[in-house]
Amino acid sequence: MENILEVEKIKRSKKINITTPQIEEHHKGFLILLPFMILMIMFLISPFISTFIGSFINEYGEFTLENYEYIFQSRFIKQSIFNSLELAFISTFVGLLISLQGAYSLNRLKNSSKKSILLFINMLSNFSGIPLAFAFIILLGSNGVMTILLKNIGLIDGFDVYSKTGLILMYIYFQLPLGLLLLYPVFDRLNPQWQEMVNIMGGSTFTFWKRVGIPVMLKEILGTMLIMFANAMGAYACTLALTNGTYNVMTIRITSYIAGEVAYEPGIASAMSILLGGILIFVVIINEVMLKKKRGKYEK
Amino acid sequence: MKNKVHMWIVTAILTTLFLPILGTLVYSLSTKWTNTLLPQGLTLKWYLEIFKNEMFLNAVGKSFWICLVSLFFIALILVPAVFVATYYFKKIEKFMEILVLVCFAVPGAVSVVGLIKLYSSEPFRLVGTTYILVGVYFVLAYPFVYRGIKNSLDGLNLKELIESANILGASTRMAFFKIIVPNISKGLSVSMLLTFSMLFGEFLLVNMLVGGKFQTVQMYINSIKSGYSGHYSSALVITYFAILLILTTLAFYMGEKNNRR
Repeated sequence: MENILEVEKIKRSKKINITTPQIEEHHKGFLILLPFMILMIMFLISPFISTFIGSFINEYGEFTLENYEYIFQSRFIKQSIFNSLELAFISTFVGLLISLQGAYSLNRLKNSSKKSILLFINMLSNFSGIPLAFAFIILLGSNGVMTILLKNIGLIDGFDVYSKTGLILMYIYFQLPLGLLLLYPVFDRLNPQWQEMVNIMGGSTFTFWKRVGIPVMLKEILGTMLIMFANAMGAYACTLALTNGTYNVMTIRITSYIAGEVAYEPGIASAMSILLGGILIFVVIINEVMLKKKRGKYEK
Repeated sequence: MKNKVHMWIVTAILTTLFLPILGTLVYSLSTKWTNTLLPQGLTLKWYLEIFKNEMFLNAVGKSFWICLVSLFFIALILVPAVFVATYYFKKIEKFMEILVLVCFAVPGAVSVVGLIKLYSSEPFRLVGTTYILVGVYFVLAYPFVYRGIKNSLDGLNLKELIESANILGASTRMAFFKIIVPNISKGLSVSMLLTFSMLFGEFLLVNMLVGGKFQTVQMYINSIKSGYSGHYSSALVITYFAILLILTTLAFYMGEKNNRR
């Protein structure tokens, strides 16, 4: 019996001896991950948890659902949710359609200007926030370059860039570079011969896109849509600068409740943040589910 | 024939995208432009005014400084972390991928609420200081820099490279510094430059977390809404755009060189 134990011990010690350096390396490796994790916990995870908890706490520090009740009753907040969703849906839909065609055309271009075009689009994708709103005001404001030009030609009476129409235009504007950049490489997947094959077999161009083109790229198209949607829902600086904060959207409402001159309502701000975060997570999940379904359909 | 149609479509989209910038450019170069088809005169005085303005130069300096510091920390922390995760901890790698999605999907307005609540009182009084920006920029830049590092690492045969280095007597750490870092540095600098231009345009977080004390370029442009002429602000927008142009072009040429090697 003792012998067996001895042997076991030796085996074990041997085992440990063999693996010690590996384990040590693993431990050291873990230490390298620590700063990353600390930063993520400090600046991403714990703020989110704190917001989540905060959304259930009223001004006296008691547990409550009042904040959620309030945001679903207040017309003003409901309007901001509706406005945010409206802007996001319209700009994503229109932006996606234009950038699909644009990315396809760009991908099919044969000349060498492609690279510089991509460079410009890349740069435009970072042209956002307050400078973008300024450029829009200068172009389309009541004394804007374009407004005057079109007025002089006689096409329009005037254009109100500070309105919903102006916002929709600006949102579509900042969605386009993003969509183009994300969708451009996806069209590489389409083999030009596939279309010929479909045509030979009697299918029209429409059939090709419906049965082959779109399904092949579906994952990326949905992913792009998701990013565009999140981008529009989270837009803040340009909306604020263009409308001076008068257009009621979720991001502006949230920030006005935590740092506004009028009201300090951290509970309501938290509940709205959780709602906004929830909407985006919901969209991510729908995206994944749809992807799985479609994938099953086409790959079986 | 088909190619021509595509050319027209691309041209139309690009022209539309450049219209606001073009309009702003012409406006910034004109002396006066109201109710006429073309500007009444051309001048460079708005640009001279900008470059004489200390507030603006300060803002550019501050923007550059905070972006550089943040990026420095991001590279310092993220490069070894992604390497370690890819080489040793497959599970953590998956977790990092999920974080990319989360960082991308959660807008600044959401995280700001929690950040203000957590860090405006002791023991972590960070709101109002620039330290907090380094932290939030880390989260903001993470998806982009992670992708950049990951793509470069995936291009290498990591396991074989490290194992051969080990067999030849080099420690894994040495292999990391002598083999991995030089190999990914070019790809990394491209993604860093692009991230830089993204951080450069950040407004919400600076505005909410630090406030008017720390004027970055976007904060400065926001602060001159009233009291300055439209020509002056359009010259500002164009200058801002020129900075973006330089950064992106640099990134592209570096990427090109990288591909050619």
